[in-house]
Amino acid sequence: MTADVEVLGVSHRFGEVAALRDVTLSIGAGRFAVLLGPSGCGKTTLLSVIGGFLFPSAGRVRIAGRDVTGLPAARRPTTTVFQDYALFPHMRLGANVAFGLRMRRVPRAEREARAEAMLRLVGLEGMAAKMPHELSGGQRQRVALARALAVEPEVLLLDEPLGALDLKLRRQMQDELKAIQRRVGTTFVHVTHDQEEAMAIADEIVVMNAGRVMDQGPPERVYLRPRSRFSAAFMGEANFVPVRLRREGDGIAILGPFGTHPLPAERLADPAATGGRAELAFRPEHVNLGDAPPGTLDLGEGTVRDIAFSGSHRRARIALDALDGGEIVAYLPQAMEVSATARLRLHLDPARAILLPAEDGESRCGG
Amino acid sequence: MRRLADGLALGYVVAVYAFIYLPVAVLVLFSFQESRLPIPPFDGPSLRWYAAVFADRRLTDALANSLLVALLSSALAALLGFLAAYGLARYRLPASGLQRALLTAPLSVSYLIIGLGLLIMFSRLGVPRSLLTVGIGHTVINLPLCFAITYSQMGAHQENVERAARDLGAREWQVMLLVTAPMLLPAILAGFLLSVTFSWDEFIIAFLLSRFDVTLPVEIWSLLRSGLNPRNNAVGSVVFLFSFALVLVMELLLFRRGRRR
Ligand SMILES: Nc1ncnc2c1ncn2[C@@H]1O[C@H](COP(=O)(O)OP(=O)(O)OP(=O)(O)O)[C@@H](O)[C@H]1O
Ligand SMILES: [Mg+2]
Repeated sequence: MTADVEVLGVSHRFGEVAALRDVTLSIGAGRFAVLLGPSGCGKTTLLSVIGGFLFPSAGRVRIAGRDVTGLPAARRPTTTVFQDYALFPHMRLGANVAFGLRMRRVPRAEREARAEAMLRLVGLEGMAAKMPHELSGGQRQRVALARALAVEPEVLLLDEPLGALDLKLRRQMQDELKAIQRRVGTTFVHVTHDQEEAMAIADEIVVMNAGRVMDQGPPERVYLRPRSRFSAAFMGEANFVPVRLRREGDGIAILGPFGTHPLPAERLADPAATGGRAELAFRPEHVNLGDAPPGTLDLGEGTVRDIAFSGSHRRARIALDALDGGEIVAYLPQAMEVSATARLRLHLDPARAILLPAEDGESRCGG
Repeated sequence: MRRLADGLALGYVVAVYAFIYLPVAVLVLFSFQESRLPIPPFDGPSLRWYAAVFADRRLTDALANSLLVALLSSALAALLGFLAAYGLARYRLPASGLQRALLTAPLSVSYLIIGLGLLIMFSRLGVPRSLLTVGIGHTVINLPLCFAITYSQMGAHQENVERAARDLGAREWQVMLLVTAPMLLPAILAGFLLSVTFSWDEFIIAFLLSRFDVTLPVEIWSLLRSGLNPRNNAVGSVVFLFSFALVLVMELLLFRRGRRR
């Protein structure tokens, strides 16, 4: 019913294009994992490698400890929900959902009962006699899900299943997907390029870029303590300021435009970089207003360049004196009315600061 | 000015349709003639010539032969066309571009050449001329059409649907039989029905490759040598009616359906 997935050193090339480069990751049994990354970064390719539609140029895939690298899709304990749903257009919903059971020679009466139960699970009770073309996009999506779950796979693979839905329906389907995953307990591997969707449903997020895994962990960790500049920038907005590091007793100190400031050593994502150059990153919602109390990181004064109301907060671009007019983004309280050109004093809770190894010549995915 | 242009356009349209359909209309009209000559004045309507057609064993045999050849050769052409399209669309085959070209090329070769070629080949091989050789000839001319129509409908979406079937445990033959063929049924049927209409009134190949048992067009041709006769009009009308019915079926079955999607 559920199994863990291990991808070990998988690389895949399409002619000149390296779609996957030495990807290693492991997903625990029963987890809801989300592969997140920009368009063209290799998410579908990785999913196809796990599902058995593509055989990698190098590396292994193990499901429930068993090496399945050479097995075709039909013989893996996985099923896939395709991006375009790929329903059988000439079959009724009942027959669509029961197709996998029919291939497994389950007797007709039993598979009809199970198809009906699966349709009930996805909220399409009593619609077994409808044809796919009679359904809306969201309903087709549910049928595809029911069809893939009907054979009780150990791992369910979903390739941007919500991509074609409007925003409201997408948020609703997210919650349902999560609820269904809890109910059936199957390991889900879900692909998306929507970071909000990823954070809403994932137990575990795998951030990808240009065929590589940039970060993997629970949403909170990946958001608050990203391990690479790419994942910090991809998981919402972030400010980056180059700094230098120095060892100081048990911890380290950052030296930069905001002066010298001590931080615990575990702050640094990659300790090997200690002593070298690093990047201080912080999220716009962590920038505080007013004089810096002791122990906080003083960002000094700045001039508001631009401010926009965005519902729950006001998004401001502020030119900091300490950065010689370099701009950062800060979310100011909704109630605070600030004019452009206003002068503000800002500080940061060091617990919120993120230290990243400096990256030069960073490779980014063509979007 | 405007009036004149409209009038001219209307006249042109009427002339075009008259040119296309008047001969057929006259043929059908005089098949209902009462007297012995299919020329004006019209003195019908009468069904006596239709009765004569269906009382003539040679004509009814030829009609049955035509039906048999049309249905079987078209079914074979549709099947082979589907298999070729599936193979070329889904597998990486050597020189697939060339193979596609070779498969469709017969569309542009004249029936006379194909018929002569087959005639020479069959006589070399010692295969006697019969309905079987006619059927083979019709399969040869209709296969390219069935292939081209089916192949054009095999898109990436269908491929994903096939992948889904494989993912759910279907074997290759199950994918083809339960998923690909039903999905492409409109295209396969269109190829089949077009093939039937082409085979139904095909003359040259049927003439060259048949001997004792002949198809209806060949029988009509030998009737025509005996001169004008309302009975010939009646046979011609039967041939026309059948083709027309096929086109109607195609329209209702395939094109209507396509529009609804
Ligand atoms: N069949 C193929 N032949 C050649 N190149 C391919 C093929 N499939 C994918 N690629 C290339 O491999 C890279 C990764 O593609 P992939 O489809 O895995 O991206 P993705 O992350 O799923 O993108 P998206 O979010 O747009 O679906 C891309 O550069 C793409 O152009
Ligand atoms: Mg993709």
